[in-house]
Amino acid sequence: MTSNGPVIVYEWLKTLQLAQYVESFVDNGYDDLEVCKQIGDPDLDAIGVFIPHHRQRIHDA
Amino acid sequence: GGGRRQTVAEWLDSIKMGRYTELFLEGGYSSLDTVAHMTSEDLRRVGVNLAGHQKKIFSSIQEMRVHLSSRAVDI
Repeated sequence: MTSNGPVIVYEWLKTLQLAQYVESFVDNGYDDLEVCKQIGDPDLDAIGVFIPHHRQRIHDA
Repeated sequence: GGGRRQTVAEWLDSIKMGRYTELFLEGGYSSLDTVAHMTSEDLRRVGVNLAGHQKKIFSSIQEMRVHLSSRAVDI
């Protein structure tokens, strides 16, 4: 099974200037945009995004 | 086949979801045979609430089913 989901997540994070989190997103199962749409605070805690303005950037996206 | 049987703890560790080991065991999913039959509803019931973690664990369960159903086949 091949999926280009992780690439799309990487592109998305890059546009938010948060590409440094891509590995953690994918490791936690946030490997396509469909599942990324469901991200809330508990998800960001699990992924390890703790910097408030980074969290805000993802919430706004 | 071959090789020793993997435990639930080892499986969860291998997909970096080791934090759920306790919940799986408490929920009665103490062998990979029972885990292989879990639905996404079952995952929520044992306490996997994050969408990404559900996705990751469930896709691993689906792979497990494929392996179980093609156990005798060498690719």
